[in-house]
Amino acid sequence: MPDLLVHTFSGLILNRLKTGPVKITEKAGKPLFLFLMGNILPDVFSKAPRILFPGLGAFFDAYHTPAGSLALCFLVSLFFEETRRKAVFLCFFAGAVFHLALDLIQKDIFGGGYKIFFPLRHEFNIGLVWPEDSIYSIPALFIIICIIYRKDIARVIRRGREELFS
Amino acid sequence: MIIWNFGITGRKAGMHAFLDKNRVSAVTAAAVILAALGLYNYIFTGIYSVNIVKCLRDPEKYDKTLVEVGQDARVLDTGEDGFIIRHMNTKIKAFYPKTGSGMKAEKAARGSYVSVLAVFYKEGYLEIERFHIHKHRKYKIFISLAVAVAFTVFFFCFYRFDAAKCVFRERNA
Repeated sequence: MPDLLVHTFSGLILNRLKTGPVKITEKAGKPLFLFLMGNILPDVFSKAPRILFPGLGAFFDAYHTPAGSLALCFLVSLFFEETRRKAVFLCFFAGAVFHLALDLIQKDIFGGGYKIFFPLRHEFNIGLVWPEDSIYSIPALFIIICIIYRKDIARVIRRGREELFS
Repeated sequence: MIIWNFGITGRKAGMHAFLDKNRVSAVTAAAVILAALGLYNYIFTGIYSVNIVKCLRDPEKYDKTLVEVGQDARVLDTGEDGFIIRHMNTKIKAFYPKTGSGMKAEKAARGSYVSVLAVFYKEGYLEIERFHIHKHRKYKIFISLAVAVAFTVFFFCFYRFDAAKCVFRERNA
């Protein structure tokens, strides 16, 4: 997995590529934030427990698959308000799918990959970079985000300055 | 547009699973499915994959078997001829291969994370076929941890928990 910062940055870039400026609808609440949350969800529920409970790694690995993420996002979305639940679920799941897609570019020495068709046992990855190499892309992604979100950043700074001096 | 602007309620789409009246059964079903998927993966990975715990438990059976030691394996100590790794709370010595000196150029340092593909021998050691040192894995974990904490803080800035209904509500709603 690339680190969660790279996943978050990639999600922010995808948001701008696909949708233009961030649109917050009433029904979805905070869709970009929820999408980014969904983007980190597979790692939070699979890699983190794997570090804490090494012997149970295979159990939690199931949540780092499309099928596992689907059930996980559904479960989490049930703890939101009824009127927003479906929108929250879609935001989460879109984020999770993007996360899993990004993970496919990684390689490992075993020649395996991710079980994208889980519960089928077929494994697949594209195998371009080592998992930890994602760290090198952080500065470049940060610069890209500063450029494509420059108007939003400027607006936030302006608003902050106005509040500070008002 | 594709991702955010759906603005559909569960009712309109006829998604009964998202309705409050079906919530308990939906939560139960999702939890059962998650547990089943986890167990399925745990059992079948356990059956089909060979790990060092299995090998050390029955060395005769797994003699000269190829073993995958994942990226959460940690180097405890190093020597000229190999290193000791800890994986799944088990320690084992891994030797560099006798031939193929190219691999020795990249030696694992103490404390680093490694992935190892190796042959297990009944005497209780591994002979490495291929290995990769995950040089920046520590930083990756720290960065990811910081991001997870930041998301948690932001989440509770945006949402509050309504204990009476057991749901998260937006603070400014």
